[in-house]
Amino acid sequence: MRRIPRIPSTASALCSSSSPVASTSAVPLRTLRAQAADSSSACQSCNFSTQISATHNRVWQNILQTQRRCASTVSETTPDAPVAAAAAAAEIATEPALTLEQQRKRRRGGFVETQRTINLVLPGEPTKASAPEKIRDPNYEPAASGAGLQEIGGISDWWNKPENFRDGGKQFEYQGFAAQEKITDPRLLKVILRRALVEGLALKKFGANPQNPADIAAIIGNGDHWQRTVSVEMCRGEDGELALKKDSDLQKVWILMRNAADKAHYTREWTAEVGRLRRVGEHEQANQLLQEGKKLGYRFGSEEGSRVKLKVEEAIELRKSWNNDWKEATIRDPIVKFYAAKRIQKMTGHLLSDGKLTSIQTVANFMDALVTPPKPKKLAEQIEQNSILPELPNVKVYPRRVTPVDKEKMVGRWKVIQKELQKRELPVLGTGNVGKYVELKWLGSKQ
Amino acid sequence: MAGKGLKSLNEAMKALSIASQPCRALPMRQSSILSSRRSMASVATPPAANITRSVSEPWQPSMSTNTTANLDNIARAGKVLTQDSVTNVPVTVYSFPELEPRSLESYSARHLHLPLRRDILHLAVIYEGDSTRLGMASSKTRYEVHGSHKKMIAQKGTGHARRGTKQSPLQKGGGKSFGPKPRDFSTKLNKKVYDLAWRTALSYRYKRGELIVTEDGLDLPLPDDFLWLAGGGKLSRELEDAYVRKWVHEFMTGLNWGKEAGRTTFITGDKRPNLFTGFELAGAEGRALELWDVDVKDLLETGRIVIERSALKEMIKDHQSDLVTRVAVQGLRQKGPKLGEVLVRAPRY
Repeated sequence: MRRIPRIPSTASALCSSSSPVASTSAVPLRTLRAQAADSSSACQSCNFSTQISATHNRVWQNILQTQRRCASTVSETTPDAPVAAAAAAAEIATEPALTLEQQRKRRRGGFVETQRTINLVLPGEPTKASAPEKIRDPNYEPAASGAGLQEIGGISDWWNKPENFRDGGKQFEYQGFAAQEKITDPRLLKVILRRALVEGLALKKFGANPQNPADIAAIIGNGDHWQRTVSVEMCRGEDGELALKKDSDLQKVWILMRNAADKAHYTREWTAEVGRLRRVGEHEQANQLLQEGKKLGYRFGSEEGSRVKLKVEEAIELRKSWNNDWKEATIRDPIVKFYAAKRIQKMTGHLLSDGKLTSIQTVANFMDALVTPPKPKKLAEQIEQNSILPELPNVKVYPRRVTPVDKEKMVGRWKVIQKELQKRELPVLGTGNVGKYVELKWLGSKQ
Repeated sequence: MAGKGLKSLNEAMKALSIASQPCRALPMRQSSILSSRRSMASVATPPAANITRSVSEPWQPSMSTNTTANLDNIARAGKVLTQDSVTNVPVTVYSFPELEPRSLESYSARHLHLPLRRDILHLAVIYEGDSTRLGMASSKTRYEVHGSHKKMIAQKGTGHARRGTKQSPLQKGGGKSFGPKPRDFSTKLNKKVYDLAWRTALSYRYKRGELIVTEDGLDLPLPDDFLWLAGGGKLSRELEDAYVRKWVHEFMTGLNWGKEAGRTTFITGDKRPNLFTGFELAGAEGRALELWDVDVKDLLETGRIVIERSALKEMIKDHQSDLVTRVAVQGLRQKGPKLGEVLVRAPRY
């Protein structure tokens, strides 16, 4: 039978250990696989290879492969540890064998970790009640069925209990590149956009230099240098494109960025080193290093200005340092837009998609894209935001359909109705599987 | 009467002549459009009104002949440039899961910025649906139903209605007269149309900001603690699955990509264990597909598409039959627009 002409797959046959299919000659993913060749690993049992470089991912992969795909008899027949009497106080898991890469890393760090504290609390070993015939208590009567017996334990909602995470659920927090708190105030956004564009122009010129100490666009914080960066004069270039009035300004801005990046880079390294010393147990050295760093102005655990500290009043003051000419300039260079969008993402939390960036052609467009709030998803939200309807005394706006139950609740009759229905053992909601009169059907009624 | 009829015919023929239709003076009308498009302030000479284009000449979009000053004027007016003016579109490659913009690539507008053609998408989805139909329905005819073919009762004299064999379609338990038989439901679609649909679907996602391209090696970064425990065999299957389900839920909620945001489709070059098993367990949050397994309908479903850089490249490369040709003219072959030209390389530190 004919099927959709799809790419012939070698990858699909990779893990079907039961039917090891030889790879076909046409290999559409050869580029992918070639890239993966150096970092790929192979599971001996199921001939599965992957291009994941992180070692820890393979651990889970191997487990699940043996459990799920190779249908290991052990995992299928062994019952899961069912009941826990009490959570283990401190679960210390012995480290599995280290890979070469891990060993090398550890050696570089100057210590080898043998034990590891896990942030997850596991249920203890299940305890079994002794057999009825072994109980000597004459009053003991074994129950004939489980009905009415008290239930203890169970692991079905083990991970929904906060006490089972030693880090208080921190492991579930998503931390991305973008700022955690989204800035929506247009007064702040205007200043931030100007800074991002100035830095974008500087990054376009100097950012791709391999001699830079770090990825400067990514590492620089959002803290200082507002005045010096933002007050740089911008204008329309010869071709109408956004440019700085003086070329020397670009250099100055770049130096500011370099310094900020250096500071952020060293703060990161210093924090990591102090943390490492503490883990090893060399607290004296760690404290010494901590004090030294603090003297130099580093702040432990935080990169240089990871949050925008700009206040609205400051933004208004900064806004006075430029006129509106720059808004008419075009920005068609995708590289400048890329860097500016990256800085905006880091500073404001706004992720500007490629589709949006393509449609942005001027500074004014950019401003609009940033300031315009997202379209409300529900009609009710839209009415709430942009309509006079909610303010009218004779109009009420509800986010959903007003049901008969809602109407009863509004007049305070619902509880009474509920009570009376329950008293008569009638269904509170719905018809309780009672259908229509069957006679209606016989009569050929359409009702 | 005859004379009158001939007269009216003559009048009708006159009315059809070109001279009597001033509004059809195409050259004049065309040039007026061009002149109105020209920038008022521009000193550039207007492009010659080339209205008699030969079929052998390649079609040039109207905007591409315009001067940069003209483009500038449009842009300054704050208008979004039209479809014709965009020849290349940028694609940001993000790291995953941090979503840090790492590098920038340029794709042709014919790859990722095509106009939305719902009709073509519809054709493709129907074509795929037809091809995917198993067509296994099968019923037995009277000749396939088991049993004796003996006449059930005598033709006459019993007082009953006439009855032939037990397998007769009139009998209960008999065969089906015109029942379904296994068949192929697949329909045909020109490859160039199907490939255009594929890129139209990608373009649609791109324009809406729902196409997120990541660096190669897309996988779920499950926490170390969990992986240590799972690696050491300390977790039962139930605990392990429940943890992964919760983790994927929280992770997708943090990204705002989960169930509330319409789910997410992840596309990778080959199977990634954590990603695929993760979404097998937490299917409400999204789905993971290998490149070979993707079709146009998949690209149109769910809230967004997250795809690896090389998978996207491979996907477009395999679906550009309308842009490339296998026929070489004077030793040269049309290879189509360049795929993923790097504008900003990912920094390595």
